[in-house]
Amino acid sequence: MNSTDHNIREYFKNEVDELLFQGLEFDDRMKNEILRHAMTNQMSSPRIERSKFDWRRLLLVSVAAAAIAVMILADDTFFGSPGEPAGGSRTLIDRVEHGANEGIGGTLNDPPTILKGEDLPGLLSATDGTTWLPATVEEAALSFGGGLMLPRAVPDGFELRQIRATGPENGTSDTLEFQYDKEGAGSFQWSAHKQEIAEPVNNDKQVDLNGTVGYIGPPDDDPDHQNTGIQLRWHVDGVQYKLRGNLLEDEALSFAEQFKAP
Amino acid sequence: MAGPAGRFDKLSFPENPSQALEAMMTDYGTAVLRTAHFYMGDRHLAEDASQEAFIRAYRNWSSFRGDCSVKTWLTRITVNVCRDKLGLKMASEQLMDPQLLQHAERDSAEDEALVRYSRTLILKHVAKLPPHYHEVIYFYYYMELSTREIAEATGTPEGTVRGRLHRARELLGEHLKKEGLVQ
Repeated sequence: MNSTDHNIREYFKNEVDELLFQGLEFDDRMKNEILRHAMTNQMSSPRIERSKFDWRRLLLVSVAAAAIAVMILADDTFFGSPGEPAGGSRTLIDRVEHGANEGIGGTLNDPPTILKGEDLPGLLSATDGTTWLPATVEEAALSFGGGLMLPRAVPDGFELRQIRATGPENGTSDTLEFQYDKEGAGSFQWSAHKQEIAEPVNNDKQVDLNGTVGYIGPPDDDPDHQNTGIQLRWHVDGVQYKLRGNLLEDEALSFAEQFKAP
Repeated sequence: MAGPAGRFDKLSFPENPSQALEAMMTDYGTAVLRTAHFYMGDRHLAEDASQEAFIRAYRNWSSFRGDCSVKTWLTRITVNVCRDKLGLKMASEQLMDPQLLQHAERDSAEDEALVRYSRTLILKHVAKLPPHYHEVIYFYYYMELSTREIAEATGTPEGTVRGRLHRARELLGEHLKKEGLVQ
């Protein structure tokens, strides 16, 4: 900073203090109010969290019980059907090991599957906690709690293949990842992660997503843009959204623009 | 610029979130309030935004890794709170527009403020610059943040911050030369 800059700073600060910020001081009233809010927040949080946890656990147990009941009723060999040749139909254990979870970790109609977080590469960065596969978008949204925005449509030809959730307890989540693919056109995924502060961006381009600031650029693991992948980030109400994959910039922007609260 | 108590990085603040909150408010309360006012243009909205910023800081204190100064971190939270509240409106608004001065005091006080504004050496020229230069000038000259810290606080690439600051200086210099204030 040269002497001209020093002079500019000195004059600018004096003028701003006098005209823009005259009498604008952080006082004890504000301080006490914030401390009161912080203490209230601290005291009420455990109660709210406990309430959410119990409710969701109940929901998860119900879903799992219903799924097991369906599997038992659908499988004749569980009751040892006398007219059926032995081995003609798969046992319950066979179904679990080979049948129902075929494909990429189970279809969206399967019951939730509990997995180890560290075994799942991808957008999910929080490996502490449990990672599991919600069976439906609704179940995933429920586990996330309020504040999650969802896309109203997906790009032409793409289909939702998998949902992964990571959270402190089974049935609750603070990170969700939705993976889509299209035959011959690759895949893309978007994630939502609860965090109060938006991720810092490097050289990404700022874009307007219907009034929300977004940043688009190459994926974090491809900073030189060697591949065709794209990454778009935006932050709304304490949730960091990230879209990544084989999409054109226009497709990514269109997809992100139609996210809305359910 | 460290806080009044000389605290700068996370390690020099208490580990306990409640104590850290008090220390942050003591050191940077006015800076946060003024930054919120810079964006919101209204004292009451600025107080609301400051309150929300400090509550967010309190809730995230334990997960803050200290990879930037507490001042930069608090500034980033404040900017995010204001952006959440304003959406993209802030990007197109003249943040230092004289019409936004002294919101709470219209009538004769406003006239007086405009007269004083017209007599300023720097502020009236800054207000004439395109809005996207106001942010970088405010953080660089008023808040005394480096270009890197501005980049971290506003989520803007550092190269963009440098470019805007360079161009803002050029434009400001042209205005000041016309008035014979600099060679």
